[in-house]
Order: sequence, then C-alpha cells, then structure tokens
Amino acid sequence: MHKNFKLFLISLTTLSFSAFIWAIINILFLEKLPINYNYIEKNNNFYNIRIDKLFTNETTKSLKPKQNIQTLKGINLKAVFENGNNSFIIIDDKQDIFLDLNQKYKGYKLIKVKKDSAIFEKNNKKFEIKLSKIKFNISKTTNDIIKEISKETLTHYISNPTNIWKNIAISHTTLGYKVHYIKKGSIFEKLGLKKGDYILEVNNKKLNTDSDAWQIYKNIKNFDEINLKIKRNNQIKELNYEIY
Amino acid sequence: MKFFTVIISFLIGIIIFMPKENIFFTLQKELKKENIFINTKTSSTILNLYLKDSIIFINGIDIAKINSISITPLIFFNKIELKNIKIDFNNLKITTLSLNHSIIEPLNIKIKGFSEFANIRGNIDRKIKIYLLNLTNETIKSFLKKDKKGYFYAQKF
Repeated sequence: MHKNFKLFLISLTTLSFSAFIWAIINILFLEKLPINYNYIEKNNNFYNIRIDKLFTNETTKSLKPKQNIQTLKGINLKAVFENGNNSFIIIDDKQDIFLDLNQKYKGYKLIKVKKDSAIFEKNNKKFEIKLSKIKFNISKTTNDIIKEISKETLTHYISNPTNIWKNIAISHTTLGYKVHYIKKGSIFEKLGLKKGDYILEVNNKKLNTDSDAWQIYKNIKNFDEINLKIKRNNQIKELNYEIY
Repeated sequence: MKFFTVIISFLIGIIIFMPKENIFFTLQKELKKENIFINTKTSSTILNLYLKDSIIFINGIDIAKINSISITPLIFFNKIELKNIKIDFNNLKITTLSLNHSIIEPLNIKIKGFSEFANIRGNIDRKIKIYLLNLTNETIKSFLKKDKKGYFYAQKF
C-alpha cells in the first residue's frame, strides 16, 4: 500500500512537472490570441489609370451624368489620333477623310475624340462612331487589335470552368503558363491564343505561381479590359481584350 | 517500475496539459508569414482540438471552407479529421478527409478521404502523392498526372 502510494505521488509529481513545462513553453513561446485574416469584399481591385494624363496640366473634370448618345451609322471610323485640341480622326466614306476637332462633315461637327470612338454633334444631339474592331466571328486576327469579350461569355466560363478545360490545356512553367492544347474553333482560338504560347502576364501581373493565376481568375469579372502578354516563337506579343 | 511510472505519467501529462489552442495560434502566426490564414472558431478538450467553420485564405483568396476539423495529438498517434470541405474552384466538395500519423512510420502521413468526385488516398513522406480514385470530374483530370493506379497529384518538397 505504501509502495503504491509512493508510485501515485511520483506520477502526480511527473504530471505536475509536465504541466509546468507546458506552462513555461506557453508563457515564453506560444501565441495567446488567434490570428485571423480581415476579409473585406473587394469589388474593384484593378483600375484603368492613364499614366500620360498624370503629367499634363489638364485639370481633372468631375464626372457628369451620362448623356444620351446615339450611334452614327453609315460612317466607318478607321483611326483616331487623340491629342487634346489637335486631335483628329480618319473616316472611311469611299475614300479616307481626315477630320480635325471642331470640323464639320455632312453637318456633323466633331466635338470629341476618344481612344476608341469619336463624338459628333448635330442639332444639339450627340452621335458616336466606334472604332472598327475585330470580333470573334472574324477569323483573321492581328495582335494589335483590341478584341471584344462579352460579360456574359466571361461569366459563363467563370461559372463553368469545366468548359474552359474542354477547350484549352495549360500548365505552369518557370516562364509562365504554357498552352499545350487549344480546341479548333473554340473561343480560345478565336481570342488569338495558339498552342505553344507562354502566357507571361495578365493585366501587367506576372504569373509566377498558381496563386497569381488564381487571384486573376477570382477577380476577372471585375475587369473592364484584359491584357495578355505572351511569348510566341521567342517573341513577346500582347493580346488585348475589352469586356463589354 | 518507478522509471516506467515516470515515463507514462510524463507522456500522459504532455498530452492532457498540451495548450492545443495556443499551439494552433502559433501555427497561425507561422502561416501568416507565408500569407496563409485560417479563420476559425477554436475549442479544445483533454485530447482534442476542434476548429469550426474554418476558412482558408491564401494571398487574400478564400481557397476553401471547412465545416469542422478535429485534431487529436496523442504523440504516438496523431490524427486530423476534416469534414465537409468546400473548395472554391468548380464548387468541389469533400465529405471527409483524414490525415493519420503514427510513431511506427514517423516520416509518413497517410491521407484518406471521400468526396463527390473521387475517393482520396495518399501519403506525405518526402513528397506528397495523392491519388484520386474513380475520378469523374474532367476539370480536375486536366490538372493531374496519371499512372496505372489512376489520376494523382504529386509535389516534391
């Protein structure tokens, strides 16, 4: 009985000793409070900043409510040159016609030149002509042309990623994401991607890790434009897409 | 006999007095350095640590939501059991996932799980190799390698 009591005391002392060790470790080394991520829902992480506008004397005008602008049909806008008061456009009306800002053509006065459109005024009504763009249904593609992706198409692929991997196969490499396969006639082929391309950057963000790609995937619905920097045949090219 | 009593009592003491929540908070601090966060509610008993409604963030992105995690650190046999995992990619759901570590194989962690899309079997030793058996999801297949046993994910440390 005495021996058992002695063993009981030994075990009690050892238990206390282990509790003491944990107490010391806890006080000296362990965190006392949880560390949580302060999650804030971000709607817009990406902004379209015009660097060229930052270094001019032009004052920033406050945004006015959108006016009702009609589309001017029958005139094809071939090119725009946006340079303040010296802006001009080239329109295609059987022949190329150069039109300066504030100049009139068929009663329509050119009042504003935007990077992708021109605004005319006639009888206090405003009319817009968009720069001709190549859309998906046009098979000829060049890298300098901005292509359009509808918000619905983008949302469809975000909601159904299975459809993405039926049409394209990519894998991560040290350079970026390599395109191994593109289904013929798929949206990815129409977007201008080719087998063997390396996708290096999306909207100036390098794709160093899967996490970078994941972050873009999660935020892509908030983009107004998508810019892909790719490497093709040892040449760096850019593919630009506008979300409408 | 005395020596045996001391060893057993010490091990029991180490297990039952282990400040499980504080160890987890320290793990959270270490993961923070890698920009990994686990937002969760913690509770513990003598043998277990429970994490409820956990959300895992990597680089600010909520990668996965886990309904409940039970951690049993028994020194010689350790077990982590995860239930109802929802991965924020293609809405993948894993019903149960368990990671077992035993002193018999100290450098090996066995992984076993069940999901809607596959049965998960794997192990972590010097590398991670996880097989997704009877895999039906085509999206996941495109990210995996394949051998005779089936589709698998492998990563070396």
